[in-house]
Amino acid sequence: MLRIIKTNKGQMALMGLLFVAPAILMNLIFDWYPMSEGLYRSFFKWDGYKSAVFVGFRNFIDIFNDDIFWTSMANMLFFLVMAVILMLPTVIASVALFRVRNQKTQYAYRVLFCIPMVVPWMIILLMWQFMYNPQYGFFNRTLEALNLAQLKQTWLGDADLVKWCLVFMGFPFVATNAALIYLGGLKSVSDSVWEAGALDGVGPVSKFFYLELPLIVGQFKLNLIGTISAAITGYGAQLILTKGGPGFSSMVPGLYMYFSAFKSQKYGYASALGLVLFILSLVVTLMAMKFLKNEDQQ
Amino acid sequence: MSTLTSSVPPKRIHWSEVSKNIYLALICFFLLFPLALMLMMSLKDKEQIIFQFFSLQPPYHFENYAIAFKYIAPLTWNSVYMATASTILTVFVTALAGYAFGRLNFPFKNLLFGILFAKMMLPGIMNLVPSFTLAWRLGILDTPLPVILFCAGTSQPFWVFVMRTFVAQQPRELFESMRIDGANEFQIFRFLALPLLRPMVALMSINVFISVWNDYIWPLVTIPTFDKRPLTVGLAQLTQSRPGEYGMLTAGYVLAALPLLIIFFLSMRQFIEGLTAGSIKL
Amino acid sequence: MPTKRITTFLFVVVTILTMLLAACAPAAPTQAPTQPAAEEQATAAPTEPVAEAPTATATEAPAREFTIRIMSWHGADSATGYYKGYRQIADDYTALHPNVKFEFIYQPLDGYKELLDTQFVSGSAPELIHMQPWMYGEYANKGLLYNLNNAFNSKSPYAPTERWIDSFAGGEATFAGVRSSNKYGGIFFVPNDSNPLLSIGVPFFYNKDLFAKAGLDPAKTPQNWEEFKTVLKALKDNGTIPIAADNGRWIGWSLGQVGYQFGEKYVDQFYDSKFTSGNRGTEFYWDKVYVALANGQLKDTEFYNDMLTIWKDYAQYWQDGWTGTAEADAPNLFLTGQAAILQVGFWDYQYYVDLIGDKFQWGIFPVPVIDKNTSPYAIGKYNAPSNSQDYGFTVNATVEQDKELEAVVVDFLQFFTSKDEQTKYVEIAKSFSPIEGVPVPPEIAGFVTPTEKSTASEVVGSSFIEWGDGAIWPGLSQDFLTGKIDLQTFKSKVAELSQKASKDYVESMLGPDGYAVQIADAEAKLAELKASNAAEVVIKSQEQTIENLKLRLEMMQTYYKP
Repeated sequence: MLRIIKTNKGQMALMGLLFVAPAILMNLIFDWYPMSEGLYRSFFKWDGYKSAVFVGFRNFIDIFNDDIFWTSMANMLFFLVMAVILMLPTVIASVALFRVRNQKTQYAYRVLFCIPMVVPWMIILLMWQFMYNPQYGFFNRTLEALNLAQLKQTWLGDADLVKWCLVFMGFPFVATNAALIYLGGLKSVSDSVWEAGALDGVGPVSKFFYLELPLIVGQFKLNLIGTISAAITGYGAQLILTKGGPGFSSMVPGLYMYFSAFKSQKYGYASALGLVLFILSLVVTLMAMKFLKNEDQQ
Repeated sequence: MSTLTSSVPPKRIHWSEVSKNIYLALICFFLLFPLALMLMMSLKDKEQIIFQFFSLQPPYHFENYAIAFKYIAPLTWNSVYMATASTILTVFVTALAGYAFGRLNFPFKNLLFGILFAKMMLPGIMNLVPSFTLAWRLGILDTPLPVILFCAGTSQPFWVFVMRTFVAQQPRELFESMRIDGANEFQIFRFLALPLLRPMVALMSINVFISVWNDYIWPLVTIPTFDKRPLTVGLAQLTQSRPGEYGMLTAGYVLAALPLLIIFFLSMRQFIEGLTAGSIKL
Repeated sequence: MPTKRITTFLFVVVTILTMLLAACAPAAPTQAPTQPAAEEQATAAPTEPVAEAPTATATEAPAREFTIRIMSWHGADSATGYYKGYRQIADDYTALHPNVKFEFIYQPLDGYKELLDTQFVSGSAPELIHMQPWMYGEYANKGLLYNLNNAFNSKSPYAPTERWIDSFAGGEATFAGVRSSNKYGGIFFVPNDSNPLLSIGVPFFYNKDLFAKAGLDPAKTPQNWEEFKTVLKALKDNGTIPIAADNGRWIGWSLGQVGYQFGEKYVDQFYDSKFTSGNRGTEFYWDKVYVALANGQLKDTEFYNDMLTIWKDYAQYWQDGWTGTAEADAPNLFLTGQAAILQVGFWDYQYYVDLIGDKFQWGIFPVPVIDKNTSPYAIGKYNAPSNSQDYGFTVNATVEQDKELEAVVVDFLQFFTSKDEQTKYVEIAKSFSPIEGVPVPPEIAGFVTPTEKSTASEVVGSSFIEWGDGAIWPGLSQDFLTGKIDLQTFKSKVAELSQKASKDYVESMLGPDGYAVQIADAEAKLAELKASNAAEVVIKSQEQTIENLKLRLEMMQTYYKP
């Protein structure tokens, strides 16, 4: 008897390693290995091809003395906070979706949630560009039609509004992927839990906090990680729409890294920025995890 | 909606049900709005796009599609099989690892998970040339392999995490009972974990498929032969030869999305079955 | 036992995966035949006689087949006619030399650089590569391009002149700036689609209907900056957007319009006359500006305040919210009749002709001159012609290692730039030619600004802004133009950036990878040329290159103060 358990354990260890081996190996070879060159280059002054000069921590010292970097960090912090707050509508939407009783209707919503994924983000950006355009855009023309011309804005061209405009591009703030992940989490729990809850006559709001929310903490965590790392390292909309402007009011570290590499050929500096962002998002994520874990235990 | 009313006994109106539906319908409206706009834009010329952005008035410029078709069509098949192969490999590798991380105990588990976890935080803009150098040294240029292997290598960390979370959430007894019945780990994975994970597998498949489908620079640099390249290369040529012709460009995007939608609807059955199967049936 | 089977299965999967990777590695050489093969060629070369420059009647010469790949961002379906022109020349050459075929690689600018970077890594970059003005300096300095210096100084079988270079409009002098842009002092491209003696500006397209609506005479275009401001004001008062601006290239373009009108030969005051006279004035231009910037001598000048004030004043005539307008969106304002003026390069001429169609009447006018009425420091001349070759086709450095291929490529390029072929070309492509005596097609003659007054060259202008970190100065400029930072702050910030960048550059040139290496390489090349009994002009030119490199080094050592 003892022997069987022992072999099972050994087998399980072997199987576990074998199961994760393809994923780990492929990740190490095709992702970490190429990436490591960039990490290594953060200690060099490098033009992207030959002539790399080892400069030790020079790039990192430069980063910490770089005003633009700190400006971009402040902007990034704004986007990060907004991104985390705006995770909430997705949670609510997925709970609402889960509570839809009719399975066919629920299915229809799920399909509708998936379809927008086929729209490439270039089109979404183009759409917002047309809506924000100060001269012929939707927002200003609507204001004009409502006789509110005095409220017209230059939107992305306004240093005070640009960050809000970029955040608002997430409207209606329901991340379909995340919503479906939450839904999956809610659905994978056995029905008896829900029936018990329904019998107790718990109200919809307290049901949310006492039943549903705790069940998707795991899913929430992983979406939180995705959100944090995307907010800290992302720059797509800024690159296409604002170039970090007006001035530096929408500059984020990711875009600054991109510009340092491809506009000023400072590849070593850009790599160092990348490493700083990496460490930052790792620290922020681990802190968030720790916080959630403590909450869990209470 | 008719199915909703017919299946619910006609007793009284559930106001909470109605408000939920209104709320979700509104969300769906806003989510689908870009798609509708995309379809509208694809039939317009430049003036119409700028001055009648939200209008549906004719004339409709169907010639946008005719022109875009020339660029997209010959390369579509390349995209289909590259995206399919990438998806199958990536999903298999990911589900396997996700199950193991969620259910099995093995040495270095945390370290190995940490490798994937940390990778999620790395900003990846500088690795084009090093990745290319690797693909070149492996001698796999001008084949679909760089696309497939690098997709499997780079897109899995988040999804391994997703799978792990789902597997860990399932009651332990479910797995134990199968183990006691004499099933081996692969059988448990194949007949218990995979069906349980089906909704996430479906979601992940869509995501991975679309990301390979929309990738431009990586297949461009690793596949020198034009005829082997994916349709995004055709889209780029369309953009360059008709700069600023948003209508034509959007028509190209619509055409590029069509096969996606078809594949999407064909696999929908799998998807719904996965989501409704639940854990009890097994 | 099933567990065992599964274990074995998984083990096999992993093993196959690992083996796949391992097995692929040895295949690499077949993927990149150019590198090892090229090395063999290089070592074998000294024992073989160097191929003589082929003559026009080379048809009976080597039967070896060549396929020359030409990469460009112009393709068969581009809105422009350039590809058709290149194709024509290539076909003509194949007709003469049936053993030489051409393969065109079309890559849109989106992804062009990425493709090129990776192709250089794998050694599969094409033989001829079309490069934009901002590209060849970078690739040349990385040692990836073939130095055409000796070819240019040799006789071209297709040109009546003694040396190939003399058949170009303006001759050798127009290459001085090109030499200055790379650390080898070499020439790395064969010019095309431009003419250094013509002032081919990036002019303004204007909407005549909107001009008329604002009470302006559509036929009368502004001749100087004051008139220009009057026009802009009239348009603005009429509720029309005077100029369509964007948050991308326009910042540099608008700065150029103003900046290049100040500080002609301004840096010369810091240097001895041996570095400023004759061709050296131009050839040393970049180095002189770098050293002056690095020394902080260009932190402030008497003309900066005027220059920047004019620029800022100019910005009030750009559309509201221009800092939020993407580069691709700005032309929409002009094309839909909302903005009256748009700056457009002649290379996009055909594209705009098609797009505007008969929607409105339009014309073009050059960037107006800033004269003494506007600022006493202004040069007061058209800032062009550049008197300098602009851009064209570069040659992959690897062709040097296959002497026969090298000869064919050079011969083709000489054929490419023959007067007959170029005359044919400009008609097909509606483009300019750098070759002496090739006419300008009437359709694009309007892009040539009057040259009588245009003698300004080696303009320092706004270098202290643009030579700084490209990730930062455009943003600082936006802050300045929108009034977020004042002129003094802006000046000191951008000056600091360009000083830092210039110091980096100068120190790298004085360092171990800088001029010292270039001089040693050039001297080795000279010895090789002498040993192979190269033509006198070629040797002379190489000696000239070495002398100039030494002078550039001397200049930096003398004047740079760390």
